[in-house]
Amino acid sequence: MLGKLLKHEFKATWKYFLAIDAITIVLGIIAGIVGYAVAGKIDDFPPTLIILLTLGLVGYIFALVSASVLTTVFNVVHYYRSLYTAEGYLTFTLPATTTEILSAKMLVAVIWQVIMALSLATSVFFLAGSFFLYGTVHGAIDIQEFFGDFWYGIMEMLGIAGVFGTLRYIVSVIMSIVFNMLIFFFSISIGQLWQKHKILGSIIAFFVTRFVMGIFSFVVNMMSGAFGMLLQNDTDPGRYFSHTTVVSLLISVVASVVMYVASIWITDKKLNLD
Amino acid sequence: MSKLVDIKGLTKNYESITALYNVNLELESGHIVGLLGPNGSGKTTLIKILCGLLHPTSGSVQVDGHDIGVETKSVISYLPDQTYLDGNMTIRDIFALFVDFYRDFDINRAFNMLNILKINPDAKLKTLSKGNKEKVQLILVMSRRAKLYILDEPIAGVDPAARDFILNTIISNYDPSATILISTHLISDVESVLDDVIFLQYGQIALHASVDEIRSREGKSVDALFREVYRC
Repeated sequence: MLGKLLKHEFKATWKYFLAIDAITIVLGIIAGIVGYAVAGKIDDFPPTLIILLTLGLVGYIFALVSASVLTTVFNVVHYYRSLYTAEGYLTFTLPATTTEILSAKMLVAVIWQVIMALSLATSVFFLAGSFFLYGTVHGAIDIQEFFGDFWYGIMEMLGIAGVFGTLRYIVSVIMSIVFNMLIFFFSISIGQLWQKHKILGSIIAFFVTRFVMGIFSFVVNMMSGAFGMLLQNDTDPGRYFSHTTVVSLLISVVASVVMYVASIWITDKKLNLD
Repeated sequence: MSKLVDIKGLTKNYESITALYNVNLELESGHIVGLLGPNGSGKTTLIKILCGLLHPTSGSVQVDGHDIGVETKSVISYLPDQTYLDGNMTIRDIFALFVDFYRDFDINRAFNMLNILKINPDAKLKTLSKGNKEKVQLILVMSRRAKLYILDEPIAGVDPAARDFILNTIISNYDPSATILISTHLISDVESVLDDVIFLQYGQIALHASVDEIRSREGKSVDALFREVYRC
């Protein structure tokens, strides 16, 4: 049954998300072409053209942020509408368990968020890549030097150097997406406990959950970073983040599991569609 | 006749309000039953509990020998009292969804009924008139070979011609081995098709009898008796 639910969830959402993702990537390609064309020539441009290019770059960044926000908003609205409005009368009378229904919706939402993150990365890659390509073609960037000490230094500082570090980083990004989406879903479930003003209840629940999780993560990360450095006798403050990554990951995994189980339990036991 | 619905000691509280109190009800297969009562009498709460949309506070509810869950949802065909489908879906998409989830959904029957109404299957639901939306939803519900059909206010808010279509669709697609539970205020319109009636009052069953029994015992129609029982 989960397979059928996933199929219909994708069917109901793919048009909107793929359109946003495609626009994001196309904008990156356009920005990359423009970037390559203007790289190294900026000093020769008249002020009006520089202003136009700056506005174009600002517009591009704004478009990327909008695409990301739009994806999240659409995911959250679709989740709410298909479960807790009149559409819920169909959703919850399908011959499937509440766990299957909610899991399918959450999983598809997370997949679209991951695809959005990849689209953003691809878009930025085209823009950054155009300058990198220009630099290597015109001898301004030494590839060996760039991917040697400089790149490794950044990766090491962030605690994501090497195969294990990269894998850990990818898992952290996915887990962060899961965690952030689950805060929305969990808050929506909490909002259902209100007899009236369920949307307001969800919004309040969202901010309270965010605040509590933020404080908790901050304190635990501070402690783990400091303890990690003390235990390993590490005196380089630049490596502080490498000690907190695993702890952050663990916090998001545990919190996500709790919110996932709670969302299903509340919906299963307390559902009351208006 | 086998027992299709078996409700024992059902109570449902919403915080301080008791919507249903100690309801005991048995429904057999092969009946068309009217669930009647004024607003706030507990009809919708009872229907939602049968459909698995609400949990009882206490008591037990079984349909076809199972507690409410996946098994009962697969034998109940439910028509809510409002549009409950995604307006952006085409009718063809909605049929495909029903084919996937309900093994008892007869897609040929659904297309035939749609054809009679001359509704384009590729039309999005949101482009249809209110009456046609109601008809499409009824087609979906009545194209299933379910054991229990639960229709919540199926003829409310539609014109008399649409009302006739809806009642004809219910009767002509009715499988005599199934049971239909119809919740409505418009008793005179449905009285002719009912076998039994249930009067709900203040969350309790005030009357559960066959239509023939009411007519012979009370010497009046169900509509007349309803007006008498629920006189303001």
